[in-house]
Amino acid sequence: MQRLNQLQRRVREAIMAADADGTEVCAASETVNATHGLSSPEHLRIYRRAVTGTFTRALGQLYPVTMRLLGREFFDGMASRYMRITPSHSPDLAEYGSSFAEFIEGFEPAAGLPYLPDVARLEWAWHSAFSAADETALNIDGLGEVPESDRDRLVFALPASAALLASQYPVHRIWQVNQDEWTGPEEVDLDEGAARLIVWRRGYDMRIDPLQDNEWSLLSDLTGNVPMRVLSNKFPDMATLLPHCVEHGWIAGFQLAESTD
Amino acid sequence: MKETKNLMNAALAGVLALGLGAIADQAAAAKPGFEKCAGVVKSGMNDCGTSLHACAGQATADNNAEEWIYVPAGTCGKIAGSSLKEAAPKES
Amino acid sequence: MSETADVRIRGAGIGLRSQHHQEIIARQPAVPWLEVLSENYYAAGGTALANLEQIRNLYPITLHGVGMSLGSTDPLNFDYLARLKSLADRFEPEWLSDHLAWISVGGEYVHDLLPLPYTQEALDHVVARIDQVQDFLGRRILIENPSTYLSYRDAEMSEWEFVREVAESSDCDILFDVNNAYVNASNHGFAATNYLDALPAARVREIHLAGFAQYDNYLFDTHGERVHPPVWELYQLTIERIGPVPTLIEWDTDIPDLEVLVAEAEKAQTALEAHSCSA
Repeated sequence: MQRLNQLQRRVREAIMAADADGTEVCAASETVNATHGLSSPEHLRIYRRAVTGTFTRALGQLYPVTMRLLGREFFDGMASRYMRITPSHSPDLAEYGSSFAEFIEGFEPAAGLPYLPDVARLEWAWHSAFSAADETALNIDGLGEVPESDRDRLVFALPASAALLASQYPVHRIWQVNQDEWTGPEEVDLDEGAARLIVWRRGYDMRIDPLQDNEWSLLSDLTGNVPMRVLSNKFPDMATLLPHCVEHGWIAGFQLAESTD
Repeated sequence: MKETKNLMNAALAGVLALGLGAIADQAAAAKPGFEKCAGVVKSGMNDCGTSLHACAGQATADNNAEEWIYVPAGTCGKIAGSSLKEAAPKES
Repeated sequence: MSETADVRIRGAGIGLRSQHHQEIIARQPAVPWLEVLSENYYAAGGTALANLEQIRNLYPITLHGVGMSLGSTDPLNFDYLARLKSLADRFEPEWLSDHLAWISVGGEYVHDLLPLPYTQEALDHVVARIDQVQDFLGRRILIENPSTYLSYRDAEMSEWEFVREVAESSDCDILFDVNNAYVNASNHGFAATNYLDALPAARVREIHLAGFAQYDNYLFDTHGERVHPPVWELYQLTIERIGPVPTLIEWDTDIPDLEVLVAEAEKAQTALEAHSCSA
């Protein structure tokens, strides 16, 4: 098996190496037959192109707005740079590409588009919500059964699909005007201002909801498991804010924190 | 402390008043937001990442990284704002 | 490992693609079965799985995967296999298949079906892996001959001998991709009919058909076109030799309207029925 292992490593290195004419391709081509019309390195390059295509196509499906903003050629070039320095560690391609936004942040040719990393973050949150576990709405009957003396220990939870996303740019508007079905004007003014968003799924419906300041603060605290006792001190409008968030579906579960007394 | 207790009970009373089963329906009508992919997946590029896998080969160019000199040519041209000027790379 | 478990899969089916979910549920086209790409349903929840739940109630299905990495020298990925098993438990496919290939080494996945060298070492290795997989899943799997664009200098046998030996030694079944055999025959310079003489007919439980692309110096398996005439000819020879084995139309690039897939499947169905009558 050692011979086979060595061969597989050489072939993988040839396929993933940055340089199509580099030493990795040379080394692996010693193991590969030449045929009519194709040299050994050319046989390996067929796989280089196929693998690049597989990764860039997958990233294009996960980041369609990013691709649309940049155009296909730019996006594919950027994605093929990313895939050469970012190995996939899962047989499931849906788990690939979570660090794409961080990569874009440091990607010099895209530096003129400062909102782009946050658009990519929004798209990853969308992808994650899309495939998150199915969930039922908050169990209000169960909540009613919590004794009054335990209410200060209640910890509410966001839907499992939910991600909170803050950006200094109106990325939800950029996302919106770059959907296939959008028919309005495609112009967005970045000076419209910052976005605070919850990206989540209600049943099978995907949603991006812009949040008000107090909604954002409460939901952020909930992701940190802050109990009711603390929240009721912090939010003077709690009597309306909490039902409001529940009504929207942004709160899907609850549990009782360990007693601190 | 009593105020906190009152506030907490008021908040929970508000939640319990929403009633079982009413939440999902009300939320649907509550706020426009940005909603998509309600079971319908369109053909084309954007199918919400539900067909990432295939056993067919993908063909692309095998450009060396050094040859990479593209400029963005998508809809980013329609995004305007003062912050772009600060971020723009120097003209060369 | 029942020999009669396949009675529900007959005739010519099509590969299920997410673009067609809604239409298949609404219109229920007359195809006898559907093949599902396993890894596209590895999500924890959501629309794709909900659609599949509905579709599964309308059609018998098979599961076809690209993630086993059967030929890899890495340890088997049991997390992957456990997810596959739970998918199979939920959707009850007639059978599961994957490819005689490797997609990973050193824990890194390239997500493309890379060929094995046709050596005794690779044969022993992949046979042991298939044994492990079949033990874990508690059922026999089908392995598919992949399309390949390179061959190794240290080969000790032909690819059709390799496929046969793997199947016989691991007691697995075969998914014979006629298009891949045609593509490989052209790319590596052999007669595709070598496959027909070598394959143990009783193990071939499924056939794949798809369209390749013709590039300058080689054929490339894009699954992006109708099945080409010479592949239909090889298919005809295959069912004459092996019998009217359940056949699947695969299409993955530039996926067309559902009717196009159904029409391709009907073409295969006609060939299968003609064979059944003459037999």
